[in-house]
Amino acid sequence: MIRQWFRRRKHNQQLKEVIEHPTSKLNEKLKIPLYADFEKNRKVFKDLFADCDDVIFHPFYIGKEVQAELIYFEHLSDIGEINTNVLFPLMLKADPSNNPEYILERELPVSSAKQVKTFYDCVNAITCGNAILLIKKANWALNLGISKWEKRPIDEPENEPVIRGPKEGFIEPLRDNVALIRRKIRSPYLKTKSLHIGRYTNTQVIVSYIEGIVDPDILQETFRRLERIDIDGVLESGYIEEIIQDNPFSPFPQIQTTERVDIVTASLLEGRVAILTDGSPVVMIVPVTLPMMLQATEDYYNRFMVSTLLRWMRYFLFLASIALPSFYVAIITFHQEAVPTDQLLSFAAARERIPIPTLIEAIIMEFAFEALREAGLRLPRIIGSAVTIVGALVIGDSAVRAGLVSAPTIIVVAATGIASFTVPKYALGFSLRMLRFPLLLLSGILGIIGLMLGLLLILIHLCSLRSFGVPYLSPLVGQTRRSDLKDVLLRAPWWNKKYRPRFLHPQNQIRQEEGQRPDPEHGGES
Amino acid sequence: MQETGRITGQQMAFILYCVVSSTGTLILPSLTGALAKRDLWISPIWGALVGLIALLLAFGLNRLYPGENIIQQAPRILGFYLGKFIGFFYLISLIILAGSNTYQYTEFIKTVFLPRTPEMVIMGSIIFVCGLAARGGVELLGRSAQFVTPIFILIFTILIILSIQAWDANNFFPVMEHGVLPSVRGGITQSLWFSELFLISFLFPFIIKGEKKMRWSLLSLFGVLLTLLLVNMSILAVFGIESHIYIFAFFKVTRYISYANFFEHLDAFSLATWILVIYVKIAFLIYITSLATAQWLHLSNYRPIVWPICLLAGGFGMWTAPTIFKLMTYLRSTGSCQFIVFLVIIPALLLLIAFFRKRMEVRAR
Repeated sequence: MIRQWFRRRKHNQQLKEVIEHPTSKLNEKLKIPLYADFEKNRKVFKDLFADCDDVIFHPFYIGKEVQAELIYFEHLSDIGEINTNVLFPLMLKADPSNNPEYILERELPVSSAKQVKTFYDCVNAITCGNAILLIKKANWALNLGISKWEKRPIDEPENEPVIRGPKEGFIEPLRDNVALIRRKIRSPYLKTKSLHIGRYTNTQVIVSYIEGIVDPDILQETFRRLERIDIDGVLESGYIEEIIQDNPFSPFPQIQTTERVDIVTASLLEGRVAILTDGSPVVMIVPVTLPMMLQATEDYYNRFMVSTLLRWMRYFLFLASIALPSFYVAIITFHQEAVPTDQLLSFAAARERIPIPTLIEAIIMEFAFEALREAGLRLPRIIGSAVTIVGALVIGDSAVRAGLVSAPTIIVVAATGIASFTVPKYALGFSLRMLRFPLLLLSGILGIIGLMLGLLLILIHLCSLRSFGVPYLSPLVGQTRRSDLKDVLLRAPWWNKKYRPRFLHPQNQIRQEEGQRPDPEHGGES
Repeated sequence: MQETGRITGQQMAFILYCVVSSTGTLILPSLTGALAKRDLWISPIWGALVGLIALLLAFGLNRLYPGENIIQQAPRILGFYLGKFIGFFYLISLIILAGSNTYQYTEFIKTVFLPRTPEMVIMGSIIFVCGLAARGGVELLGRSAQFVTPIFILIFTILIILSIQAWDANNFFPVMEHGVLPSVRGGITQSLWFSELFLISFLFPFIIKGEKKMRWSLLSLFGVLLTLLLVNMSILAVFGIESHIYIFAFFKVTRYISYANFFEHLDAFSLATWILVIYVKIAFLIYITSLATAQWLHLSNYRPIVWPICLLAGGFGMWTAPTIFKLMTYLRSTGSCQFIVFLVIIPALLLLIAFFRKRMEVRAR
């Protein structure tokens, strides 16, 4: 007891030291206004950026009289623009003045320039790649938005390809991503609220939503969870995801992630909230439900009958991807009578030479399959195909001929693998891969009863799971409304989608007007 | 507050449906068949009448003392000591009910599918799963019932339709050969299951305000009636007058399905679907037993006693009967009296007393 207490106290002290680390204090300490004394201001910046060899302090005179200094990072800012649009007009043409409005309105041809008044804002601006203009006898500075860095072009996200639909995906810089969304939703009601997370990385995170649609409670909850985060750095949205999800020990993802712009836009229109993280092309969308995870983007672009059919196929494959190997093991081990006689004979013939029980066989094959998949993912693409060929030959053919595993097991494992590739959301595929193994064990012990009990355990977990307050199985459970089910059991045609998903409690439930179905009066056929 | 979750009327209906039709499709047809013979399929209609009465009793009590279940209502109606005594009787009956249902499940699985697996394993596994669900509260029960019941209904409908090839319409005739009496006798056995609808009393306090309770519970009753009617019809049509010699008759029927030399011996599938609803039933029984015990003892939370109740349910499952035949004899004799008393007669008496009490209170004012 006592030892534990001491240990806990020591731990607390350590934590306290971590929390009181210079940087976190610095941020607070810096939230003070700039001094009126030019030299004093300069000194603060010089001290702060001591040993930063890439920071440039460029002293000059505005209109050859007023002393001023430009502070920026050499590699983050656009030097050309500094020369032509900042230094040139200020040094050569300007009247000597230190009136901010005067300089901004008449002298300085930089559009995203604004007045800042605290050290905190200045430091933030400089580390973002903007330049700060200090002027003598002024207790303010100018933040010149001239940052510029290299980025990759906007192209189709590799892991979420579509045949029909926009081919643009998010990239790393946050402002490009916001712009991509704004390009699609041209409305002042699209809000983008920004916060900074990470003591050192100071990563900008933008919460985007459509005012008037989104449920204020969900929005408030999102902000509450984001503001709680205290972490040294955010390198990927995954860091944030693990901190803000509802049940940290669930195998199921409770936050949707995507790189596609159209998915984010569609979610915003449904009344959900998007969280964009600077430096990551992966955007998080909350809340999410299991049926949403099984919907592909293209469902909404293709004809609705095809989409409905594909959806049902996906639901069955979803079930198959968790339960098919277990089902096979249960049937072969416990319930042979359910197999048609001829089939059973060929199964028996195939299994005749196999020394190990079906359960072990299936587990080994599943493991091998997962290993192959992982290897193919991690290796360079050129070697990756070699792994696949070797794997296919060795496991697919030689193992059977050598009598190590039976052909039906391989067929089942391969079918399961294919089924798991049809799950549109990658994160959900992971959870299914994970759950397959305990189910295999259960069905090896208790047959189909074990399988059902395992599925029931998963169901119990899913029924108690929530994502930002929304039950994870909505709209299949809870208040079931026809308009919600229409988008799960079917894919309702666009002319029939009067309501937004109502289990998300959108403020404005009506998506569109009724009566848009093509008919003779509206230009269609009778 | 012991339970903060709320369920919708639809969820309530699904829970009730699972409660009756899960075991109602198991040994009930065999029990009924022994008494009703050829009129097997008429019996559920008589049973449903008792079910309707049980429902109305629960509604009546709920109207007089809204927001409470029978354990809380009894002390108000009969005074503290007598009320607590009745409550205790309810606790015992509930746990016996939970135990006997677990036993039916265990016996069924053991006889038909896993003859070499120890009973403890079969029983323990289902009780563990149901205990977990019971700890999740009424919301979880409602949601899982809502999820599994449509699947159950869909697959059982398909199975019944598939079994039509083995039907022999002659088995139905002559209808009511020996008058109404055999079917009524079968109906009494059926009413044992239908009267479980009275357990709606435990769900009333958790239903969201403004839901159409009456409509949903009647729909549930109707659904149960339809299910049992169809199941009994298919059994009668396939096996005729000998239907009662098969204990788990409906599963025997699904064994007879054979299409295209491929869809054969579908009993494994019907078993798999049936587990979905028996899970809801056992979880619900464990849940209400724990809740009722907690309320009877005035505990602040029912969750800590769920596992002990699970253990007791398993124990009572073992003690109720040594074999399935003993259980069937019990259900035919002592059991039927006990459950009718517990689910219909006592509630009826309580309602009567409560009615006069309220009236006297009004007069006194």
